[in-house]
Amino acid sequence: MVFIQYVINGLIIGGAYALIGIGLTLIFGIMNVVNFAHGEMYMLGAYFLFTFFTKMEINFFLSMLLAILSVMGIGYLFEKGILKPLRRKSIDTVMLSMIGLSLFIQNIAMLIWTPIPESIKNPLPMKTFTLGELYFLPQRILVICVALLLVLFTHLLLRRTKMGKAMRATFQDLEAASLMGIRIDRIYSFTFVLGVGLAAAAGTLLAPIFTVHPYIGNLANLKAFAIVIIGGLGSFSGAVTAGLLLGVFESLGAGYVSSGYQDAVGFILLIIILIFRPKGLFGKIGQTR
Amino acid sequence: MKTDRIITILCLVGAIVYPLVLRDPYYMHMAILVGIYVLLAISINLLLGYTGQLSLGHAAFFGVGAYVSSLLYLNMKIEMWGGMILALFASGLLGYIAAKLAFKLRGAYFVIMTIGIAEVLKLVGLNWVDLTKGPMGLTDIGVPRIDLGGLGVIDFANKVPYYYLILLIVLLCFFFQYRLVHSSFGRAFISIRENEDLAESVGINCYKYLVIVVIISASMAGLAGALYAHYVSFIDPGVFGFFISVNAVVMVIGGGQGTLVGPILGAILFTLIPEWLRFFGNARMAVYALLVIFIVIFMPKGILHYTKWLLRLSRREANE
Repeated sequence: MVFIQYVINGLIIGGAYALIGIGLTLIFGIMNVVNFAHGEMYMLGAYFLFTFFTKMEINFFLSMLLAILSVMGIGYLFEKGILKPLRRKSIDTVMLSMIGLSLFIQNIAMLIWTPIPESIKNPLPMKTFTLGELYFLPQRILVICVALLLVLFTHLLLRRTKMGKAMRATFQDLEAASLMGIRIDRIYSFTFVLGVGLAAAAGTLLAPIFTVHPYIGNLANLKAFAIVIIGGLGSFSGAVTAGLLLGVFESLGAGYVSSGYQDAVGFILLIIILIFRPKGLFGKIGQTR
Repeated sequence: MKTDRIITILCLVGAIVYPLVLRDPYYMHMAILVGIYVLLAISINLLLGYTGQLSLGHAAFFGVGAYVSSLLYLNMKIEMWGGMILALFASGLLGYIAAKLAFKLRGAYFVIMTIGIAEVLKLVGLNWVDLTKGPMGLTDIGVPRIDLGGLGVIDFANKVPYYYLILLIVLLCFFFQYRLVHSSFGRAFISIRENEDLAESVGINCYKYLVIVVIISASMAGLAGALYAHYVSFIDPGVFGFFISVNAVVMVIGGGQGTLVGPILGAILFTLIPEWLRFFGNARMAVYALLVIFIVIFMPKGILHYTKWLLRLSRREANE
């Protein structure tokens, strides 16, 4: 029973990881940008929630929405201001600029919110309800429900809308897509804003469970990278699977091995995957980017 | 060519007389740190500048060097000299394993893999409390004394002898770098940077050369780590930190990647700039981050490139 409890806890956190992961994999796959500021968007999501909900005492769900929208707005500005001028530069240049940007955001967050960790008081009742021998907290159930809804929403957006079709076309072949009249600039902005929005959503979901401080983005970043590589580049289902897997393995690792090494699980998985399947779980052979 | 040689000799003389002119402990401290960063920058330059592979995990090798040498000193009473050599081998071995794993992939994948290796080691450093004392870190890492009989004692706990030791090692590594990039190895490295497929097609075993360059680069970073640990006499898992790797890469790019002198210039500048930025108080790191973005975007060829360009421009004006 303990085992099942660990798995379920893992799946819940894994849901949020999946959100961060698909955001990053979309940006990576479509724009060919390694978004080192992705974890910072997660951090900003958490901090905006803290400001709106704890400081300004706005309704929790409204605060969540406002936080996500604010981060999307900031993401839009970064895309237009920094990524657009860098479009023709090499992937390394863009990567290092994004590292600079992430350092910048971290330090600005430290100036605004101070480095002291904040906690967001639990918005939902703390009463656990039980199912057999399994325990559930309402806040954690909210995490997995919202995460699954957002994954489904993104999936439908990619599969059923014209925008999604254009995004998939851009992923397959940038030049052909642009020849067909798809406005690449618009696709890029949309992808980036959507991606950082998903990271911010994960931030708002996990913030009431963990503490919030300016450096939470670092770990979120590393986990997101691990998820993207484990899942396979630009693979949507890969990112979702890898996110959930990572959550479960971390939870099991913390439960049975040592909680200190919990954060290393992602990279140990990554190394194993790299040895046996270098293109990731869902990656197609021959993708070299 | 002649001016190059004059400038080299001037710099060398400057570096040798530096402690005689500026005896202030703060300047000596900065100079020693610069020296350690020069080693790290040269090691990254071999990989990034000559083979074109970006590693953001060099703190892994730096940290392993620091921990190996410190632990040998503290637990087995091995002096720094032995510790340095073993640190070199240990980080070289780690480099071999890391390269074998990471070079299954290129580009962004490779970069993320290197970061991952450094992060896993940081967690090991934090959690293997029996060996590393975890976040408490290792203290009292000593430095050797050389008894010269009647001539006195060289105590490396003083900054001036340590400075000369570092200067000597930097010169050796610089010379090694110079010989390496002008050998057939160096030409193979550059061909990989320019076009890996083409290099492969003319019979260069790219994978083999990449593994070799990582081993060399990692050993050098480990050496820098050992020298750092014995100098500050205290280390904690922060030596595996991402910022150390990023800072060293910025030094190489800012100074001039793929050049011999660039990393040295970069290491000097980017050790001093954060000090100058203290002026901004708490906003210091934010300003530094903006500077990093600026350099990466607008000066990708590094400062060396622009100094050369300025020199050429002034020479042309003088001629006219």
